[in-house]
Amino acid sequence: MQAQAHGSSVTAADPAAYRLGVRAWLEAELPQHWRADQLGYRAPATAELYDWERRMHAAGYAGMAWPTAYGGQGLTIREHLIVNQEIGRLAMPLSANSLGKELVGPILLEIGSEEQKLRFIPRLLRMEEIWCQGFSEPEAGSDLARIRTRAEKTASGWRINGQKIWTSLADRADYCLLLARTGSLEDRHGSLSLFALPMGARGITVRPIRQMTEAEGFCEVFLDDVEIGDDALIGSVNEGWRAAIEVLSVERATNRMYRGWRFENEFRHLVRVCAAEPTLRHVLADRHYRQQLAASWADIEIVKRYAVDVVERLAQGQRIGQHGSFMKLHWSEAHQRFAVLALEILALGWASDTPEIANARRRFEEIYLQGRAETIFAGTTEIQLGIIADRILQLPRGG
Amino acid sequence: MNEHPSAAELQDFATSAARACEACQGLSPKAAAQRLGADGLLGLLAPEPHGLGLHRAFARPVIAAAAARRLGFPLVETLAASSLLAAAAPSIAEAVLSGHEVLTAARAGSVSAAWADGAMVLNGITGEFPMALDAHWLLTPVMHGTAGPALAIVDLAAVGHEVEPRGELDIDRPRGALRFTDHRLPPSRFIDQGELLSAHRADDLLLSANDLHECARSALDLALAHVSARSQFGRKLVSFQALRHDLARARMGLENGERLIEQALAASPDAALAAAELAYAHAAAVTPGIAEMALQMHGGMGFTWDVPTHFYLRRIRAQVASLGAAEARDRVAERAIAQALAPLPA
Repeated sequence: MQAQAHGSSVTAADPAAYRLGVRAWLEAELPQHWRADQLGYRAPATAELYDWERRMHAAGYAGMAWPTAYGGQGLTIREHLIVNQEIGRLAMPLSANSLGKELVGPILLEIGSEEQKLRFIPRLLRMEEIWCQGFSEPEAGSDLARIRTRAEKTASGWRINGQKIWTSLADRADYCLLLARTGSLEDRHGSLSLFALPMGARGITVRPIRQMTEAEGFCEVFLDDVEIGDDALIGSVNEGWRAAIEVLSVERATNRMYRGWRFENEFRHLVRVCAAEPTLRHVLADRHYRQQLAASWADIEIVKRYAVDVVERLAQGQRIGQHGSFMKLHWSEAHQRFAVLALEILALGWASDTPEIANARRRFEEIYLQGRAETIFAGTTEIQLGIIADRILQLPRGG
Repeated sequence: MNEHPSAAELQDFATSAARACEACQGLSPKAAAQRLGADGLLGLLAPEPHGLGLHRAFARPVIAAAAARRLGFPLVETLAASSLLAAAAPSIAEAVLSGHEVLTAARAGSVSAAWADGAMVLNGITGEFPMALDAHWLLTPVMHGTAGPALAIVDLAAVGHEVEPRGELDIDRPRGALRFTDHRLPPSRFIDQGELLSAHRADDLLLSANDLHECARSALDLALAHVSARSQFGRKLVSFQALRHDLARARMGLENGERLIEQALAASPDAALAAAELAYAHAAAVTPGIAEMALQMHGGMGFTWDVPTHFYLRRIRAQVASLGAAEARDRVAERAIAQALAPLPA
């Protein structure tokens, strides 16, 4: 999401007016029954979600800092932040193409060919092509240096063999951002390359994996003699990972930038349910819970400030280095703490299970369960602690 | 208020602040005051002509340099009070900010104030304050029957005061409390203007949060150096993952707190107090644990005077003893709940 890296970006002339425009559009267009903090909530169907995201893009609220030549809005990361703040303010459904928009797009912009940028980016913004991410393998979860899925050069392209796992959306994706070995296993990260793998290619088998949350779309992917063209390679051979990791360290700090504001929306939801329900009202007067709510509030303000600081740094052309690890570690653990607090508080309302309490319970139970994944995906807590120890504190590893 | 300084400006300032604090090593508090005052560091936040009128961010490198060197001086108290003094007590501001007299401050207490015969009469006891035996002036909160919370500037050198030494936590900055029995305070040293009180409170909490951070950072630096140098079981301690992860967590605690300090530094005047309360509540909750962890990392050595880690822990604990995380969080909770219940702006 490094706007300045892609040239010709312009800032909205009046950020306050721009914000009001985004706010008014979302408020008017987002159906009430898709808002998880409203009674009568129901999750949108996949097709409805695709259509919604298509409309958001058409209205100018996706690909904010990407060049107009590739379907972006040609604005800057500051507008990206404004749109995310407004998205976060509402209990809006998650994107159905977040890997495309938050991982594939930035990687293509950084290392993709001009043809690939023109080919893929507009389509993922228009929700015409959905992407999944094929990095993890059964024997290479956190340790991606052990990836064994192999891409062998053929006369006309590449032949892929191997297996990917924990691949979100693989059952519906049109493309997979595939990390595969193109050299010796001993070279670890130095022999990995990235590919745009068409999921319709012959030799691909997708099997669903049942998630703890029962959410659909989590899969394992088997790749047997899958033939793809030369044009599927993203970046240079054996250099894909090196380049991608640079993008990933930025993405860790910039993806789902709405997170802090959504967290605030969840906080508001919990407090408002407590205030409205006679059986829960005492919670807001109880010092024990007030202390915990204050701690959550501090957590939320920290998440928000990280996003604001990252945007300012990027907007000024500064590097953010490994600081995304602080953000990831903090928000994932803070969100888990808050979900636990919400369940504990809502359990006090068992005597009067009103629709408001039931709706809040449904939402926070889902957040709680999903929250257990948040310290695992995108680099586990332990990986982030390792990054902070190795690269920020620069602690020597040797004995 | 001048603009937020650039990173380069702060770096330059940090170099001179470090030099000035280094020169104060071994000096008495009064001599240190003169040195710091002559360098302009005590008045850097106060408006001209009393001070330099710089942005509050310039206080950060000075606090960092002083905390790292465990300066035995009420620096945060002086910096936080400087604008208040300049507005409400210019002659005391001149004496304190030039370094000719030392001012300290209490953050809590149960002192009542009531008018009688043209003076404000104080009764009760202050909370603990640092450098209790070396200061000339004490800034202390008082409760006025009709006007509510206020501040009193008390002349400690005047006859009739006896400072009671309190606690042994902070060896670098010995603390005490002061008991008043019908003490007559000149009206000019009673401050009850809401805006001044609120601005002072915001500065005090923000700079105190910063001070807690710098003490914790110094303790963490000592731990990092220790585990990198010491070997046990035939390996450097730093190679043990359990220790690396604890150190990384401590670093994240400081990084998180930095976000809130930066937010408070950037806050508009009407949002400054809320932002400072939040930054302080976080620092008071997180920094004691960091210093405790740093001490633990030293093993048995951490419990001795052979390593200075305990001085930082003591300093942090003494500070949060005068205003703890729970009390600070009460205020945060009040604001957070009110904000959550207010309608979202259209």
